[in-house]
Amino acid sequence: MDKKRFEIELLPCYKRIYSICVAIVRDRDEAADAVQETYARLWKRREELDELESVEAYAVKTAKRICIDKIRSREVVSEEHDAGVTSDTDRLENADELRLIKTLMDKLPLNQRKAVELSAFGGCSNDEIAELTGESPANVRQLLSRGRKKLKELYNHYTR
Amino acid sequence: MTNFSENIERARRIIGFYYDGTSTPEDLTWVKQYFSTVDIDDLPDNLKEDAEIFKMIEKENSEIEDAVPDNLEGRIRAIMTEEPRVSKKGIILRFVAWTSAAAALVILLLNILPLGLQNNMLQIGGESLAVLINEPDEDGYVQITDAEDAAKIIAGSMNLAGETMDVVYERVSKTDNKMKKLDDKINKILNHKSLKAS
Repeated sequence: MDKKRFEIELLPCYKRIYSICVAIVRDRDEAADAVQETYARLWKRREELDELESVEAYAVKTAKRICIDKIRSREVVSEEHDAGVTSDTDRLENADELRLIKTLMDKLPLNQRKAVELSAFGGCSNDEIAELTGESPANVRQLLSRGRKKLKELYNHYTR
Repeated sequence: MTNFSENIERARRIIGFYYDGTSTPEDLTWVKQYFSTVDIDDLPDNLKEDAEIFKMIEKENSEIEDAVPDNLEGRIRAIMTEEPRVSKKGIILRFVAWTSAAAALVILLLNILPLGLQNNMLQIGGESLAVLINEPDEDGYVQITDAEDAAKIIAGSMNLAGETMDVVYERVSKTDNKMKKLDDKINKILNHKSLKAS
């Protein structure tokens, strides 16, 4: 793939790839580094890209792979707390429509929230979520099912 | 079945997989795309809420995309213009090739060109050549009268220069790497500050 085609077909994807990386690594600086590394790898292998059906899909896959490796190489466990289930008396304060979905997701139990966010914002498959979270694929399916149903319940509660 | 009805059926199927935890990323991409283009009021009641949730997820994604660091595109473009670095081995081989060719040329010229000895100094092209080897005289130089010896010494000096270049190259490479690390750190700080400001 020549430089011109690379610019036309791959360069515009960087923002989408960035948002996927942010969803996975949960750090904007690391996400930017992951994007840069993704494009470095794509550029190095640009001659092989012509054989691919979808270069954008390949770019996203490469970015996810890099993010998974970054997470694996982390030594310190984050200090995320386990968010409990809300009670009927909970109120949402300062949550405008734009942030509502994120605020609702924060109210899910931690493992459900991780799975749902990786799927919703990272575009991750169940297998990728399993790799990132250390859960089995069967568990991931259950976490997604429960998390998404709970999210809809919460949404219903706060908007109706 | 109309196109609209087909799309509704497809959306219903995917939503079913979605809550079952078995939808694929491609399924979700399709349904997000569909819900972003259709008027929610036109949807059946049992899909409206899901459509609203998917639209909000897409809005959140757009927010993140809009907050991309300003210099990220520049960093990517810089990758696309990087020329492959000439390897250290390549530089040394080239240098040795050139100096060997130069030494060979000197030897050839010394055997072909008329040479003069003036005041016991070897002369080439009007210039006097004097090199330091062993047992210098009171001026610190030894006169070489044999043309072949002089050419060998010159070639040896050029090889020594090549070895020195090797050391210089290594030091320049180390400095270059340090500068790159510093540049990355500065960019991280600037990005962090700009995110805080926004």
